[in-house]
Amino acid sequence: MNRLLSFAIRATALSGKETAEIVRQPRLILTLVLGPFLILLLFGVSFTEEAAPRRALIVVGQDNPMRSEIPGFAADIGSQLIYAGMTDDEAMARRRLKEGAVDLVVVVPDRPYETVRSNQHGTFTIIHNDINPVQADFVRRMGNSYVGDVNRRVQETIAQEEQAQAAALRGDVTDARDLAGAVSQGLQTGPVAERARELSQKMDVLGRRMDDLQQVDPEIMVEPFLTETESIAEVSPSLADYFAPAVLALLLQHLAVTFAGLSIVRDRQQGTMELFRVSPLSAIETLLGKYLAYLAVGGLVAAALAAGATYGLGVPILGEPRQYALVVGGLLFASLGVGFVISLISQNENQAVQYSMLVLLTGVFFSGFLVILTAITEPIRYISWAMPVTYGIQLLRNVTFRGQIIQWEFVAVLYGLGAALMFAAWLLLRRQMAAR
Amino acid sequence: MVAIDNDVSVVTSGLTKRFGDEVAVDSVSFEVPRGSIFGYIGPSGSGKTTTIRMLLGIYEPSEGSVHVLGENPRDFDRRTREKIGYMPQHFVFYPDLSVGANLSFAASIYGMGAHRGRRMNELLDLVELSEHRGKLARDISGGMQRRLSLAATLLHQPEVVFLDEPTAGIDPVLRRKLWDRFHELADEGRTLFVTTQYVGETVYCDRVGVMGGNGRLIAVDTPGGLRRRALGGEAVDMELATYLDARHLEELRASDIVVGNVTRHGDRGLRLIVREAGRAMPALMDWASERGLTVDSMEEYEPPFDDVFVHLVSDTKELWDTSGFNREVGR
Repeated sequence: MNRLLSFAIRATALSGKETAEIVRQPRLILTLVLGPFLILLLFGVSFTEEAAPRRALIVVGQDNPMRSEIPGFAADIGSQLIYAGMTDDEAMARRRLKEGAVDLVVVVPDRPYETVRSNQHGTFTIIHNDINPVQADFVRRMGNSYVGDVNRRVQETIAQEEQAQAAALRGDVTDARDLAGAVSQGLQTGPVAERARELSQKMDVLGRRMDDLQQVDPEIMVEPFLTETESIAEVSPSLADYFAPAVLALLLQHLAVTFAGLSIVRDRQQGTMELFRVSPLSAIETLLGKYLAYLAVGGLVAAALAAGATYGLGVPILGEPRQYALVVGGLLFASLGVGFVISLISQNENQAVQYSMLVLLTGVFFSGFLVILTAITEPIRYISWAMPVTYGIQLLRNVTFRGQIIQWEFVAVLYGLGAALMFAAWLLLRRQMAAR
Repeated sequence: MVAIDNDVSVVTSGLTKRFGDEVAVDSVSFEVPRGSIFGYIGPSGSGKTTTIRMLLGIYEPSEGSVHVLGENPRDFDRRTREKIGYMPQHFVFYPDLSVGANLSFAASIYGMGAHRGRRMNELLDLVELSEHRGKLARDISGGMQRRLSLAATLLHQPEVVFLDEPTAGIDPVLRRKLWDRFHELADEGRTLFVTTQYVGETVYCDRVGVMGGNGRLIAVDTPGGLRRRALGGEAVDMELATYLDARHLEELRASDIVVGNVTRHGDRGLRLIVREAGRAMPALMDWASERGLTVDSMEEYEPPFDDVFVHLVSDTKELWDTSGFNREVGR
């Protein structure tokens, strides 16, 4: 019994100590519980399943009979597309798509009705520039949906025309029946030959109409128009490949934030900061030294991960290494700034780790890693644009799959954000290194 | 306004530090002459480290002034900082770096260039860590870590060195060796401000500041001066051939030679508090001779500094308790 009691006392001693330690860190508990909860809440509030509307430019020939119908169709286009105008210059439309001035180019088939009448599908070609396989698939499905709508409208028109034709046919059949009656009567009473010729003519018309109907391919009848999707992107990565640059960006941000986040707080807890404060070492020298080290380590990690993705997983990297390095450098620079600010506002290592984890969690939900940015409504989307990883993901995807940076303004923002955070970190560190 | 003397490395006046309502250091004033060793002793929590931090510009004083090398620590520029060495109380270097790498790091933050190698070797020899140069700092003992810190502090040959308990956890033989080195540094004209938990080390210092409780400075004096303060004079032990009777004892107490207590030690021994042992001993010989008493032996008694320290602190405490008197008591 005594042994059991001793066992319980020893065990509860530790549980008491652990509980007391946790309770005495209210800020840690807040960040542990409230932080992730807040992130999930914001994500839940801001997430929308409604796809962002895409700007569509229609390519249609000057003499295309559909040209006149397009403005009417555009007025009733729905919420997923924004009508961006009409042109007969497909090359120009493709250029505008590549430049990002429009999101889609829809090429209307030449002589659509003749094509269908000649028992061939008329094909609408939808051209996009998406490298995101989910979005590319969405474009395909959206194209099918819109062409289905076109087909429905065409079928309505055909049905109306056929009903008009049927009314005419009904007159012909009545005439034929009358003639047949007259022929029957003529056989008994009058000139038969004239009536029989008329009847034959009517029957010929009827027969031709029946032939026309028989010749129409049922498949064409049901679905006169089809869509084809075409991407002008150089590669169309698989889903796994597509996520590789985003994973890399997220890992690099997390690595930089954690390294930097623990760095100064550890120096402070260990007492080394006291030595720095007495020595000739200035705040900017301290920061620069740390930046250089972590940039070098982060750069090596990035190079190793990129090599692993390329040679191990077969992810193609179309961009030049210097562009890749520029993006990785900016991402690391800005992320280190986040980490150093965390390190300077944290009271201990636990807090710094917790803040770093919150940054990671925020990155997963709001950076465009998990869902596309347009699925996050404003103003919550501003959180996305406050994180280096958001720019890093976009830029690394472009460099990897498009072979170029494209969004140079994002590069400028990354380095600008990095510089602003470095300045903030310098101010905080200078204050901490000053006498107090 | 404090007058800046080139022969004084550190001067404080009414230096006070408060953390909220708590007074950590209370109106402390002292001077540390250039090229001397200033010992700063006091019980745990008496404000020694807080004082050092104010001297180094880590803490801003709540009141009073401090000047080190003629400058207010708040305004230390790079050049002044290069003249200062600081060894904190706890090991603050990097456990995952080797002894050599930590030392090299310390050299770097003081901007030491290619010549650091020889200097590092000298200091590793001094602190007897040459053989452990390649070991990770986390794998060496606490005493070795203290020695590494000390080496790092002295590496850039500072003019003024602040050592917060440099000998804690170091064996007596090496401790003695380090104190010898401190004296060499002082002889080179460097100033050392040393806190210590070993009260006995007070004897190695040129001047000593004694901190009492509540952040108050009880006394600043030479080691001998502190002894005199504690005892009320110097002590002489005298062994007579015979037992000294009460009449002679009263005579002795009433004489001009004795300025304090006369206490018996054994049957024939006496301990007398005199103004100056060197002058008192011949006078005592004469006094005994005049009375037909034979003196077997006579020598100056130097009480251990543990006793001196306890005496000073307890005396002050009594005075504080009774009168609120808080500075320079016992003078």
